[in-house]
Amino acid sequence: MRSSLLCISLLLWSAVSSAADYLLPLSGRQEYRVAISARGVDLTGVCIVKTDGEGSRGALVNEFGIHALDFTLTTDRTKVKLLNVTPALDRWYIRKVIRRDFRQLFGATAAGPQKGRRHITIGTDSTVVLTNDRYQLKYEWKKLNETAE
Amino acid sequence: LDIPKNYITFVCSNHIHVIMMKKFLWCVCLLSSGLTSQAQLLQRATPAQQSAMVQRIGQTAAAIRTIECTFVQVKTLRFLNDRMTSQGRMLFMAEGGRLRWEYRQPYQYTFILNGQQVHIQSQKNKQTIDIGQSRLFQGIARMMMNSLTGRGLISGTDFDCVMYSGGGEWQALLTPKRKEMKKMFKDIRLHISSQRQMVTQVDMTEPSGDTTVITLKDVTTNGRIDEKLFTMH
Repeated sequence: MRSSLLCISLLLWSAVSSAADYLLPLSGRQEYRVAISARGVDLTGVCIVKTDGEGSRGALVNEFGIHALDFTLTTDRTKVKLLNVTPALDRWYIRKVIRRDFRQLFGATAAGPQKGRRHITIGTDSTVVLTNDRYQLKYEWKKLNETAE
Repeated sequence: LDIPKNYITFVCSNHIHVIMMKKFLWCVCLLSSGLTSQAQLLQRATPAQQSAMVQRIGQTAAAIRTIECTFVQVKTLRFLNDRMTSQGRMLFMAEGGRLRWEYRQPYQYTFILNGQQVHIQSQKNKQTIDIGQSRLFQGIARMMMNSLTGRGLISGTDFDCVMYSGGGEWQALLTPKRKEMKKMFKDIRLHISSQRQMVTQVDMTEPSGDTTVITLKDVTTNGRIDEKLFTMH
């Protein structure tokens, strides 16, 4: 009995600690303020992410509510799938870059160099910044609020 | 009197059936009357009525020099089965075609339209865009201005318009004509107070089925607005 309780405690502790390791924690419903700079063009908006036992689903919209794209993220954060991409961004090469950048961003557990020519920094206001040097892209994510479902 | 037991059961069950049937019919009647009143609530205007409504909206819009109000924006996301609510305030000045659209909650974001220039200010960045170079931006700016005053109904260059009336309000269903606009909006529905002939709510539906509903509140017209609010500091 004691050993099984110990196992459960260890499992719970490891689950909690591993969830807290991500720079962008996802649980329940969360809203992020998002700013994307692409070769001198600045775009801003809000990303809503809902997470349950099957993974996360997110939607990126601008301030006026105009939809940019939806995405899904697996529980282990290794796979990102883009859905309902707005026609302006709906090119295979753009989708590929965004998908990979999102995977790095959500899978990041620490600041520093990431895979390829990407690196992550954390701003003074806890903004998580992913810079993609190859395509001169910069993603800034800052948590707006958090509500449990 | 000897009545067979199964006959009583039959009569009772029949009686219960009759009661249930009556209740069911009542429900159907109530529902259908509700649906009929709903259908009666909004009726498509005849061409003559539509032109009279558009004319009245145009007259009111022509008399408006300034508008100041707050707004609540509710975005419905079908993919997430979720809603996002934001709030802010709006200032409009007819002279020079100036508009300040300012989000205050849950994020700060200001969009200023001043003639041919758009100034955007978010928490970190400021940028100015010359809309003269982009037909799409011109269309969006025109749509924002016209949606608030109802002027777009008259110009008719960007949207096909069908008017409805009922329940103390008019509704203008705007369907985009241009290809670029069609990619962004399936349709836009303006709710207009039939008494004041002013827009009270804007419903925007995207091709995906996502909707954005903007409700205008505490509207004051022709008050004094500081011109500096239409420039970026």
